[in-house]
Amino acid sequence: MNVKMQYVNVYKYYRNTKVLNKFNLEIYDGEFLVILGPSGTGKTTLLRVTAGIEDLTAGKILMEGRDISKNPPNKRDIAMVFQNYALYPNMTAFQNIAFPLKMAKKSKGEIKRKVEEIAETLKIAEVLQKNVTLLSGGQKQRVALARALVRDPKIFLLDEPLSNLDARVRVVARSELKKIQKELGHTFVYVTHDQSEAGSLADRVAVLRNGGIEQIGTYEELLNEPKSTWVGDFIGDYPMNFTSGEYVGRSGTIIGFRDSWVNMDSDTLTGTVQLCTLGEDTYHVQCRLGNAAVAEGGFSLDDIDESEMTQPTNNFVKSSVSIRVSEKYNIGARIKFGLSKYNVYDSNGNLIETVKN
Amino acid sequence: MPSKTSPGIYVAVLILAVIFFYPLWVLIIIAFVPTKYTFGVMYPIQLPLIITLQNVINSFREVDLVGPMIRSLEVAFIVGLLALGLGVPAGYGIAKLTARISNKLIAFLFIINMMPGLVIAIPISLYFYSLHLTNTVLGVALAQELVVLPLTVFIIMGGFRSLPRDLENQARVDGASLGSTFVRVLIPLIRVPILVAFILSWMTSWDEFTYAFIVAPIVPTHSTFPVTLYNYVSRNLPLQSATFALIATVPIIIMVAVFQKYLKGQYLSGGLVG
Repeated sequence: MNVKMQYVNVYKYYRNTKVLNKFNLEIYDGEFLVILGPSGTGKTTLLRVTAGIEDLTAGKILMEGRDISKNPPNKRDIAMVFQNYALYPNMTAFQNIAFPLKMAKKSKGEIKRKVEEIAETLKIAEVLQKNVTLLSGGQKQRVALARALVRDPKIFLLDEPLSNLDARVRVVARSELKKIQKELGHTFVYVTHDQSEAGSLADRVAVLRNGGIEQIGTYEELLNEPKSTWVGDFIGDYPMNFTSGEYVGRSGTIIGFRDSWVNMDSDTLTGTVQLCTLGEDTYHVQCRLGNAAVAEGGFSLDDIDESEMTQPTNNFVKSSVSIRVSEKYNIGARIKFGLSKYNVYDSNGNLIETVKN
Repeated sequence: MPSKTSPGIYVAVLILAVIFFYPLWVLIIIAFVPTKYTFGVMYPIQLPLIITLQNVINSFREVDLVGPMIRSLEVAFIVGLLALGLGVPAGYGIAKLTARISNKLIAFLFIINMMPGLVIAIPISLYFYSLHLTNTVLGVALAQELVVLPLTVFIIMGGFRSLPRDLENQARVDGASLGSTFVRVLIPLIRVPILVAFILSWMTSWDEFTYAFIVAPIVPTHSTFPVTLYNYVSRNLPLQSATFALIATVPIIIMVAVFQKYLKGQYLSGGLVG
């Protein structure tokens, strides 16, 4: 795959805050890259720096091999959809969408044809002559999207473009967006904090933390093999379970597993049920486990008194774990289960290996 | 929100209206009622029962009203347009600064307005004398600019600040240069603050006295209308003064009537109704 855009050792400081800290990333031609991360990790700053709205403190951004980091925004050939849409309130929907074409000095006929074409695709043809302040949230979002898509820029930057929509519209808009991106072969960089969006849209997901990329890969990779306990805790509908223990003699090791990796045919683990709630079609059981001791060929542990537990060595280690099972348990009941797979992390939270039983 | 206004409010408004309107009423009576019913009697008539245009015609015949009027209009328009020419870029720049710095800058700008006009007018007139700006319309306008510019910058800054910052960024990303971002996106969006700033500058300059009196003193062929009016009053020509004063009110009344919907508190503070 061709590299479309490349960040080389990019730094962005606001006074003393390091928002982007030695940021490196390659974006491939035609890919849908989702930038995911908790708020305040520099997601939006990354887009603004890319678009040229804010200057870099240091480093380079290469577009098709050429350094664009010193170019003003109008010379970068990048389209961006802002989170609040930033529609020009003094213009109609048509004028909004036509604005970038007008700036590119396209002919009147071509502008009209292109705007109507994209409006047809995004189903906003009937509101083109309305002032944008009169449109509904969903229509505004489409106009903002149309204004970006009407151009043919090198790359599209989207800053949580669906976050202001209600849940039902959002799901529809999401699938349309993905379809358009694939059909036209555009390169999308999409910022969100919504994991289901990342899961359904992304070719690759980059997880941002402290101004750098903590992990990049497909959403499934992030779910199944988080490189650190932090990613395991962050990615997924429910955080990964972490329990402290020993791994083949190494103390301070952390065992991580997802609530769905439970294997009821096995009984290597024993726990005390603390809470049992009905989820969509499975029961979520919270139970307390003792310390894990991993020997050759797997690990097992019994529930033990809290007094006997070793102190957690990592912030993400909790005294109880949550698992998904198919039958209901009473509070205080003993539950036995095994794991179909688990990840082993060292005391700093870095992945050592993934074990499948 | 339906609310019941007590009749007392209407009474209060009526009393206030009478107090504010009475001086204008006196002007109207003096200007349009034959002098034998006003200056000729001990208790002047209070209702325009007999109306004549003779006073106005005589006033125009006896003194030059048109010249000072035109000069005042020139001053008002020069001040208004210059205030926008300087105030729009300044307001844009100051709006981009953090509030901590910009508030200090604005306070600094208003220092001029805190000083008595004469304190500033006298050194200025000396300076203008060597620049050959005394007794000129441009001189009066430049001096008056000092008074209106801080307020103009303040209003325009408020206008820019009320715009979402991302609109400008979006225009730039959409391929607009700095100039076309300004002309096509920003200026149309702050047209109301611009209009308000212009009207306020215009109205305060139209009847400005202190600077006009010192920069363009009592030379009938060069003074603006407030100075000329002062001249007639001081020479005890009440009829001409009344006529002139009444005519001078007309442009203000027209301005306020046309633009009164913009002259509300939120526009003066620079707010923008989205």
